[in-house]
Amino acid sequence: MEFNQSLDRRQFIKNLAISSAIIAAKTLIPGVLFARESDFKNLGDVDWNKTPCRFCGVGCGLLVAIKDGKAVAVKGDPQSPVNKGLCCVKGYHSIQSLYAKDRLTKAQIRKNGVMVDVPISQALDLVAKKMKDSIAKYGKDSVAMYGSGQWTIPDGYIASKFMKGALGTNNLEANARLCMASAVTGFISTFGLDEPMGCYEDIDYADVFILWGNNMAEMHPVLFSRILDRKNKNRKVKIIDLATRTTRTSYAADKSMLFEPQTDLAIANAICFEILHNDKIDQKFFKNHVALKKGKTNIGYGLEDDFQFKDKLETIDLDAVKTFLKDYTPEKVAKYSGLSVEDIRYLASLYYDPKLKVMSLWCMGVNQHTRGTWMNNLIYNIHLLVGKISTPGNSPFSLTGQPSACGTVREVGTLTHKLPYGVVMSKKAREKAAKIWQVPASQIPSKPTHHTVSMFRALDRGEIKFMWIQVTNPMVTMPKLQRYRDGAKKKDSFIVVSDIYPTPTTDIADVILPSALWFEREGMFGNSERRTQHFDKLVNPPGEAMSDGLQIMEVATRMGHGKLFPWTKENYIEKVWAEYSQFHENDKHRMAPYEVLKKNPGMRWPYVKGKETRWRFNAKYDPAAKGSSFDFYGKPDGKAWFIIRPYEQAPERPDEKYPFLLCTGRVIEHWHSGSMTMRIPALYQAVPAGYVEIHPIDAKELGVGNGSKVKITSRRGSLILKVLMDGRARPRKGDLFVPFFDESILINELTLDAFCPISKQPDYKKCAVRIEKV
Amino acid sequence: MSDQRPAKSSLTMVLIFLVLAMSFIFVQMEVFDFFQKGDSYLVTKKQENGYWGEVADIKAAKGMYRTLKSDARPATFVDNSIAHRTLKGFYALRAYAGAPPSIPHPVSRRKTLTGDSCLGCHQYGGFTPKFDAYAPIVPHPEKLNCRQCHNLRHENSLYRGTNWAKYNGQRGFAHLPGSPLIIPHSIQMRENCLDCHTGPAAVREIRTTHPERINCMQCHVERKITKVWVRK
Repeated sequence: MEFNQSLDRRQFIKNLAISSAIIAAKTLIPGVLFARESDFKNLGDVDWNKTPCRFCGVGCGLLVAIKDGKAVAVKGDPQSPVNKGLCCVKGYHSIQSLYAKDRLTKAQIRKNGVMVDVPISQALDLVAKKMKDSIAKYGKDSVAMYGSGQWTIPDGYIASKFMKGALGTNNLEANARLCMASAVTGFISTFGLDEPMGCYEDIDYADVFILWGNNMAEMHPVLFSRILDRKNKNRKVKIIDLATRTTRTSYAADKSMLFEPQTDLAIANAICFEILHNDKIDQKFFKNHVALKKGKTNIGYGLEDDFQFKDKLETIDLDAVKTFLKDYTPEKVAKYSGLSVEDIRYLASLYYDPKLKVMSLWCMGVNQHTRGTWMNNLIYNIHLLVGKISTPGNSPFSLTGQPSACGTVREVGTLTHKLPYGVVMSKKAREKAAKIWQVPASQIPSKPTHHTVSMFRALDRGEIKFMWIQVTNPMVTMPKLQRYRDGAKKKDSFIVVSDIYPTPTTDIADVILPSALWFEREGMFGNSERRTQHFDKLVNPPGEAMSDGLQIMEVATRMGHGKLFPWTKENYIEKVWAEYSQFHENDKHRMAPYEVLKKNPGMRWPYVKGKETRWRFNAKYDPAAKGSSFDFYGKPDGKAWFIIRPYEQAPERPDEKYPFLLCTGRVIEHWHSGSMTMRIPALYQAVPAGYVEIHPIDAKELGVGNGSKVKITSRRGSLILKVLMDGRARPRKGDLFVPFFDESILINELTLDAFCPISKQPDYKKCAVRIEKV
Repeated sequence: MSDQRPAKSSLTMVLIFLVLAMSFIFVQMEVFDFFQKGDSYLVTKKQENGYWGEVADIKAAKGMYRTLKSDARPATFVDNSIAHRTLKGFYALRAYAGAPPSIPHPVSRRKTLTGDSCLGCHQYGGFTPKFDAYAPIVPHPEKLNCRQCHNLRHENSLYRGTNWAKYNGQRGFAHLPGSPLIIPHSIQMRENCLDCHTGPAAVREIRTTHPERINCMQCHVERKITKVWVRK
C-alpha cells in the first residue's frame, strides 16, 4: 500500500513498528507509565508544532510532527482548550491530505481545449491580463471572486482589499454563503452583532443539550465528546436530539424526536407558546433586555433570477406576540410536525425549568433552510423568553461548518455586502476602509452586487465574464448544479481556479493555479467560538504552489495595484494582521496581537487588556458591556430583539410525481466535496463511495435492499446510485439521504437552488424526488 | 427493665432507618419533583421513561453508547494485574476471527432459553465467585437464545483430520505513527466497543487505554476496502 510515497518507506514502517511497540508495551507491562509527551521522542528527531485542524469549524488544536521537511504524525494539542488533546479520525489523518500523488504542483492554462503546464508567472500574467481586459471591455462588475471559509484570514483580507479597495467591485463572495449565511443574518437581526455570545466552555456547565437538526456525533465529534464527557460525569445531564433522521447522535441522546422537515419553525413557536402559557417567562430579564419586533411574511424562495427581498422590522407589544402564538399551541403543531403534544411540552419544560441550564446547538439543519434566518431568530426567542443566555451553560450556540467561516468570511467580511468593519451600504464603514487601505472612499461601491447563487446565475447569463475561484469546489457543491456548470463552461467566460488537487471545478477552469495547503504557509483560522488561531509554515509547498493570498497579491501587482500590497513573501502575514486589526480597534471586537497568537493555542476576541472574552453581552465577563447585568450593545436600544416569525412551507414538497424528500449532508469520515478526504487512505477506505439512505419500509415497498441500484430523479436531474440501509443512520419514512462528498455521484444535480430570502443561503435539505429500482 | 432498654433503642433505630430509606426512595423516584412541577410535566415524565430504545434499530449504531446510558457500566479501569483472559485463549475458543466462541465452563442444565442464566453474569460482567473469575461482557445482550450460537465443547479430538487453517484476522494498524488504530474486524453484533475492550474481563492485549472517551468511532473507523482513491 502506498500511503506516502515521499516518506522513506522503510523509515515509515520502522516508525510504525516503534509506535505499536510503545502501545503494546503500555498494555503489557503493568504499572509502568509512559508519559504522553514522550511517546514519540524515540521516533527520531521529529518536531512537534501547533496548528489548528484544517477541517471543520470546531477548530481543534493539533500538534503535527515534522521530520525531514515532511509531516509524519498528528496528535491533539493538550494545551488547546478546544479539544484538550483529542481529535477525530479526520484530524488524526489530516496531514495525509498533503501527499496524494496527483497534487497540483504546476500552473496550467487551457490551450485549444487542453490544459498544458506553464511556469506560474506566465499563468499569473494571463490572469492579470484577462481581468484587466474584462474590466476595460465590460466594466468592473464583469469580474468576480469566489472564495471560501477555508481561506486563511490573511488570504480573505487580501481578497477583500483587492476586489473592493483596488478594483472597486463588490463581486466578492465565499462558500460560507452556502453554510453560515443564515447564522449571520440570525445574529444580526436579533443581536446586531455576528457570532456566538457564549463559548465551548458552556458545554461544561449545561444540564440540557438540545440539538436542532444537528448530527454532532459525526459533524462536530470533538465537541460532542465534550458533551458525552459532561453527561458521563453528571448522570442528570440530558441530550435531546431533535432531527429529521435517526443518527449516531440519536443513539447517544436521551430522547430522539423526529419531525417533519421545515416544521422546526412551528415547533420553536410552540415552545414559546408553552413558556408564555405556563407563565414561565423570566419577567425581569425580558422586560429590561428584550425588544419585541415583527418582520415581513410570505417572503418567497429566491427561485427567480431577478428575485429581490429586503426585510423590514416593526416594533410590536407582548399582546401581539401572544396573539401570534395562538396558532402554535402544542395541539395544533402536533398535527403536522410529527412531534406529540407531550414532546413539545417536555421540550418547553426543559427550556423553562429554572433549575436547568440549557444549551441549544445547531448547524446546517437550521442554516441550510429557506427560512434559515427565521429559524435562528426563533431559537434565540426561546432563550430570550426564559433569560437563558450569555451566562455559563445557558447558551444558544450556532456551530460553524468550516475552519475559518467565522474568522475569514464573517469577520473579514468576504461577502458582497461586507467590509472588514461594517457593510458597504454604510458611508462610515466605507470611509474607515478607505482610510486604512489608503484608497479614495469613492473607490468602494456602496451597493452590494451578487450573493453566491446570484453570482453564478450572472455567470450563466453572461454578465460576469471572469471568475476566480479559490479553496472551494463549487462544481460539486452548488445546488441545481447543471445550470451553473453549463454557465461556467460558456465560451466567453474565463474561469481561474486555485486548488491543490484536480476537481470537477478545475475541470472547467481556463487557468489552474497550484495552491499551498494549510501549514505549507503561515496563516490564521477563526473558529466557532470566536477563537483566532495562528499557524506557522511548517513544510514547503510542492513545486510552484503558493498561498492563495500571494497569488492575489501577484496578480494585483501585475495590474498596477502593487502599492496596496507593499509586503514581502516572508512578512505579509504579520503585516496583514497588523493592518486588519485596525478595523477592530474597539472593545467589542478587538483582536489579539500577532505575537500573542503566535505563542498561544488561539485567543477569543474581543481581546481586551490582555484577556479574551468568554461570554459577550454580560457585564460580568465582557468589558464592552455597560451596567451590572446584560447589555446587548449590538443594537442601538441595548436590547436583544425578539422577532416573531411564522411557519411557512418549503418551496418544493413531495407530490404524486415526486413523492420523496431528499436531504443531503456529510459523514464523519469525509470533508465537504471530498477532494482532500477521498485522498486520505483511512477515510476513503472507511467510506469509499456515495450512497442513498432509505427507510426499510420504503425499501421493501420498492423491492430494493442493501447494494441495490436505484435511480433518483428530481425536476432538475437524475442520478443512479446504490442503496445503503441502516448503515449508520436512517431517514424518516418518505425521506432519502445522500452524502455529497463523492464527485462521481453529484447529488447537487438534483437539489433545488431555493434560498432564504434574508440570508441568501440555499436549502440543501429539502427537495422533492422520486426513486426507482434500476 | 434492663431487657427493655435495648429493645426500645433498636425500635428507634429501625424507625430512623425506615424514615431515611423512605426519603431516599422518594428522592430517587423524584416524587418531590412531581410535587413541584405542573400537570404537563407529570405526563411527560412518564413518557420520557419509554423513550430510550425508541430510536430506530440501526445495526451499525446500535449499542454504541450503551455504556453511557446503562447505570451498570462495565468497570473502566485498566488494571493489568487482573487479566486472566489472553489473546491466545481468545482465539482458542473461536474457529476463526469473528466466529462465536464456544463456552469454556460448565453451564446449568435447566431447560430454558438460556438468556436468563447466561446474562446473569455476562450482561454487565463482574466477579463470579463460582468460577473465581471476571465474566466477559456479551456485546449483544438483546439476543436471548445464547445457545443458538455458543455451544459447549464436549470433545477435544477430531472425528477426521482437517486442512482447516485458522485465520485470526488482520490486526489493527495505524496509518500514521501514533494515529488511531483502524478497526480490524467487523463490528456486526459487536457495536459496543467497550464491552470487549475494557474492564477486568477484557482480553489483556486489546484493552483500550482511554475507555472514558465513549464515542469510539469518532477516531477509529473500519476499513471496508484496501485500495486508495485515484481520480478517474
